[in-house]
Amino acid sequence: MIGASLERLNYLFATVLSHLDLASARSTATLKHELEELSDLPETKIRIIAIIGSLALLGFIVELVRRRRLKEEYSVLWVTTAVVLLALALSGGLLEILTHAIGAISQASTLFFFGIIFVVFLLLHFSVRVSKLERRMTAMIQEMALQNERNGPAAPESNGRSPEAEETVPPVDDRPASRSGSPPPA
Amino acid sequence: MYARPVSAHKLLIIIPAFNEQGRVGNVIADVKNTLPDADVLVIDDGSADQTAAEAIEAGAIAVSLPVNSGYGVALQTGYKFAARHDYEIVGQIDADGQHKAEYLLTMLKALQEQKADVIIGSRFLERDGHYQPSLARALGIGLFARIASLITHQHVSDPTSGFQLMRIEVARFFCTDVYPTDYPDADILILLHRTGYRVFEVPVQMRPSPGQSMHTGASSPYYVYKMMLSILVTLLRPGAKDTP
Repeated sequence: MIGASLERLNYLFATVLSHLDLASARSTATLKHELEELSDLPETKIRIIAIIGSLALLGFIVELVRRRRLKEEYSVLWVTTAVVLLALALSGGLLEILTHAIGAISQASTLFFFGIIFVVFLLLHFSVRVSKLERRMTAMIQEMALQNERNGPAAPESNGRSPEAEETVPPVDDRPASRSGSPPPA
Repeated sequence: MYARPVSAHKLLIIIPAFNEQGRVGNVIADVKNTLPDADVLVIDDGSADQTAAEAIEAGAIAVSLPVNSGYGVALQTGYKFAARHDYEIVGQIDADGQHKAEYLLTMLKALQEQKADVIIGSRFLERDGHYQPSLARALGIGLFARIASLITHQHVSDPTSGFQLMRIEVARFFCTDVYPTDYPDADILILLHRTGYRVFEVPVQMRPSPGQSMHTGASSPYYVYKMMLSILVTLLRPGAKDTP
């Protein structure tokens, strides 16, 4: 009794599964076909947009460097990003090969993929720079403080620092207080 | 390096203070009573109140950071001060009055007798239960005490203690980029061990906290993350055992 019903259940499952399989296979085939039909136009479009975009970016970077708004040092990653995007957009063959290599369907995805990779590197690069800046700023803060050391009542203003000077520059309290002077960095 | 006798004038006690008006004066008086010949340096970490003025009033040297920069930066400023003014021994004590300055004598004695480079005042060495941290903090402190003990092959009971005494060589070492200015803690013990400095603990009693806890961070997720990462990279960096 139980064996028979189990068998029936099994059969039911198998039928449903095979139907599902067929359905999904058919739908992917049509989807692919439709994509191929559509692909010509959008691919060209995205490539043109990418070419214009990366050229504009490149021009903008060069202009920023020329006007000394961006240091040469910092332009390296930006220029690399723009040049690689431009190269990919210009050479359709390279883009196609890469699209297959990363298993993407649309060439636009490939462009986005590499664009995002570079953006991630840029952000990381900035984090490194910020860390360095913070370290240097800390050293500077300490240096300023050490230059303004003040002694006890015996020689209150022996270091040429007037109390007024302190009042005019109130300390910036930019972190929440926790430990005595040790707010955990956010 | 170890056996040199210390003249009292070459002793500097650093008190990092952030908005400790009303407390820091008593701590300075406490230190001066215990060690009349020591210089006391208050690092006012960008306080909004009269911490620096109170410190000067109490006879300490005051150094004010122009912006609030955190406990580690304040401490390191003190180390830099000590290194520039040729002190021989540097101590540090919290500004909220939890630490009893009388233990500085015990610590000073231990520093000289044990031929140590750093002495840490531990709240947990004598398990008398006088100090009761919250469960989360106890877990955090316990975890890093265990890790530090494992790595340094010696018993570490209180890696978060801000009550320390060290030789100037160590303070000079802390003036460099090796010092983790955001959360100086268990990672420092490991760094010291890796560099070849000798660290010992001395049991201390604490007064009950007058207000906010000194080590609020010890249970926060960022603290745990930072300490794990810091310990890991300290271990990954090339050991500098031959430098001191």
